Amino acid sequence: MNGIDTHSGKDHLFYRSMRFCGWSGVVAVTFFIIGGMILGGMLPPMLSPDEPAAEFARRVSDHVVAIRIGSVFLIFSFALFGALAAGIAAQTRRFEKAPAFSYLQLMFGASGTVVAVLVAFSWALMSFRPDEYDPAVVQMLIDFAYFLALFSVPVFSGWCLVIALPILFANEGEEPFPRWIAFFNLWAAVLYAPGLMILFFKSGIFSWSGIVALWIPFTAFFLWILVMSWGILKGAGSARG
Amino acid sequence: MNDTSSPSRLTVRPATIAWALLMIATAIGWWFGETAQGGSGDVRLAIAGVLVTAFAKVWLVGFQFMELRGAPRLLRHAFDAWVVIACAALIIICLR
Amino acid sequence: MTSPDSAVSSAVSERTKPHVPGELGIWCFVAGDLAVFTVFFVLIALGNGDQAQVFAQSRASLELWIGVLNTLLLLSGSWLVATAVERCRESVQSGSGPDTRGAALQFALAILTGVLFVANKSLEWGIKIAHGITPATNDFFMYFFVFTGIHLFHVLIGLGVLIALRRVSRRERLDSKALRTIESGATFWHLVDLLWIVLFALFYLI
Repeated sequence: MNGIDTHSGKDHLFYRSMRFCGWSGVVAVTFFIIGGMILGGMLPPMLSPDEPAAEFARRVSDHVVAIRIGSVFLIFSFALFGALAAGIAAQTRRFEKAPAFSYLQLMFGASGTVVAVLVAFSWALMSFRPDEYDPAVVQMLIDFAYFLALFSVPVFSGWCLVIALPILFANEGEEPFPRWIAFFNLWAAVLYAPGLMILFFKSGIFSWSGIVALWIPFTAFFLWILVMSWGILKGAGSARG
Repeated sequence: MNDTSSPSRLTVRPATIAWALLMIATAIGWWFGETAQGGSGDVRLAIAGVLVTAFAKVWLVGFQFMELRGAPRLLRHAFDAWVVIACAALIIICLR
Repeated sequence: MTSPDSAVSSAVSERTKPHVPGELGIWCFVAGDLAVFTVFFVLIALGNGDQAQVFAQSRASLELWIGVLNTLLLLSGSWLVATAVERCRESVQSGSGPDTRGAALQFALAILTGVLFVANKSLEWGIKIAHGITPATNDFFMYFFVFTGIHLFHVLIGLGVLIALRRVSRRERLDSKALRTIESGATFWHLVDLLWIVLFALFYLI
């Protein structure tokens, strides 16, 4: 009656929730492409950290409408990370006797979602009154957004690690996700690490507009979302039987 | 293929031959490097020599140590292709 | 369980049949890491072209022998690991564990080469910093410290992997799942070696 078919033992409610979680990852990536890449100017970065504050203020006020609309898409994109986190943890939980790694995943996933949502807040705020704020404030809000996204290495790498470990520790045939997803997560965890370097460089490839510290972690992260969405949808399919 | 069917230590393992070749290749790469930095001789040729030696070593590490010699064809050839393309790309960039 | 003859013949048929070393997942990691390091290699080469003067002068001030020694250390470590894996496989295929103690010793020696690499690298960085050369000095040293630093991070992870492999190889009996773990871990260690070969050429030799 509650979505559980007692005759066949199939859990249709679980199947539907997992499909929601899986697709929310795909929607998150789509909204990021619209909000962060096409409209918002987050990727590719519209500025570089060594430019003067006045240039930051001028560039933001020139594109203020696009950035505002982009920020709306961004906050929806980032909030959906929560659904992705829940889907991953639910799939991991099914193969645990007592919950341990699924709790860890929820902790990291929830922290990651908060950090990501603050990126969108920061992006929205800088476009709220770019001409009235002191230019240094606009500059700081952009810095803040990139620091939230890139300097938060342990949060996102830790999340990947606690997804990989239960897969690797599992007995044959009892893995929550295919084993290659564990190695993919380890790879992603390593790739977020260069984000820490943005604190030490204001220009070049290791700054927050550079290829190593910005492009590689961002590409790895959004690829990771798509892979995990696929994993959740596949897990949901196996739950349907 | 007497290497794997008998665990005898009297036969030289292919891995050991690979190790010796890698040591020799390191010396050759060093010599190319001296030429490339010294300025005597053809510097451009020496730079290409450094990179070709390095990627020959990379290929040998993959083929022998990472055991790609016995891997499915797709995996093996993907690695071979990466070695060739990466080496060629770096030579082109360094000599442009 | 199996007679020596059938063990040998199964070993031979194992050999002729294609076999993914370790498991497919580790190759997913290898491919991803190679892709990223290829970007690093290209960035170094581009920097070398754009600032030829700065790069040539800075390169000349590197201690070449440290780089050569580190290369020899990693190559020898890889060789030790590769032969240790072969011994473990022979032990699994023969059904008895004749040589795994030798394998554990080889893993231990490989760990030693890794530790010496780290010590040598620390010495090199220490000398540079004592001379006032830091990542802020110029673009060459920025690339040098950061990219060899990322590689050093791989070496440290690899040392953890090797410690785990040594422990696995000391089990009473090795099964195919243990062998898969050993092969996967060894593949990662060889990747660390492979990446250093190219970094060494780009930073020290060109």
